[in-house]
Amino acid sequence: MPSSDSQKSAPDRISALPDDLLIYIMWFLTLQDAVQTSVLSRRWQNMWASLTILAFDATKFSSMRTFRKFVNNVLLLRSSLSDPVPLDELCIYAVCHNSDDSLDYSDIHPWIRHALNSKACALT
Amino acid sequence: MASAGSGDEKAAAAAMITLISSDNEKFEVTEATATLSQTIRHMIEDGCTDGGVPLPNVTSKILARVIEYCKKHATAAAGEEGSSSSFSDAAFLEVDRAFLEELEEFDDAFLEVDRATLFDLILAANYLDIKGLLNLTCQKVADSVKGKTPEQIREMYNIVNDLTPEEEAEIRRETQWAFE
Repeated sequence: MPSSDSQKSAPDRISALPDDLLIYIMWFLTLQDAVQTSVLSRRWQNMWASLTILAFDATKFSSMRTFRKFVNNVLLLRSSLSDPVPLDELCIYAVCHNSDDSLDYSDIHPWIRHALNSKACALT
Repeated sequence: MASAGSGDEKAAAAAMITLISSDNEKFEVTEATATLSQTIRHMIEDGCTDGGVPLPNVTSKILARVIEYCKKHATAAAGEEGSSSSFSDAAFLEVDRAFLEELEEFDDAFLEVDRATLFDLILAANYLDIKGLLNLTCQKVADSVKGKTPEQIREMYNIVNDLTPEEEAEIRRETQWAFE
C-alpha cells in the first residue's frame, strides 16, 4: 500500500490498526492516558476497557484519596459495559505511610470482588 | 526429499533462508536471523521453507528494515552466548554492558523513521511475530501519545473526531476522573 510522505495529508494510520494492536500500544501507556483516549473518536471509545491486565500504581497519584477514586471509577466503568472483557491480571501497588490517608479493607474488598467476577487469573 | 550434493553443502544451504517480499524481491538471510520471527521459526520447524518464504503482507522496503533489525539482534544474542564462557565475570559484565548499550543505540537510530514506516513496521512485526520489534515500535507510538491532550493526539495522527459534540461531552463527563 503506497503511503504519502506528507504528514499533513497522511491517512489515520493509528486508528486503522487492528484492535489487538491498539490495545497492545495502550499497554505501554499509564491507565490515565489510556482511559483518556476514549474521547478521540468512536473507534477509540472504551477501547482501553479491553486491556486484560490492569496495573494501578498509587505512587503515581497525589494522595490515596485520588488513587482510590481512580481505581473505583476504572472498575465501575469497566463493569458497566454491556460485554466486559475478562481480566487476566489485576495489580494494585500501594504503600501506606500514614493511617490518615490509607486504604482499608472496605476499599480493597470491592476491587478483589471485581477481579473474581472478571475471572482474573492473577491478583497482586 | 532426495536432493543432490554432499551433506556439507546441504547443511550450509539449510542454514540460509530466502524471504520473498510482496513485490517479489528475494532476501537471503541466515536461519539465526530469520528465526527471530516466530512465524518463520514455525515454518522452518514444519519444513515449509523450501523454495523461499513468501511474505505477501510485507513490502521489500519494510522487509529490508525488519531484516536489518533481526540481523543486529541475532548477532547480539549470539555474541552474548559466545562471550559468557570465555570471559571472567567482570569482563563478561563489561562486554554485556557494551552489547546492551550498542543495541540501545541501534534501536534508537532504527526508530528514526517517518510515521508511515513506523506503522508498516508495527504491522510487519505483528505478522512475523517478532516480539522485540513489536515492543520497540509500539513503545515509540505510546511515548508519542503520553501526556498529550486528546486534541494534540488527534492532530498528530490525523484522527477524525466522528463523535457528535453531545457524545463527546458525555464521554468526557463519564471519564472526567481520568483527566484530573
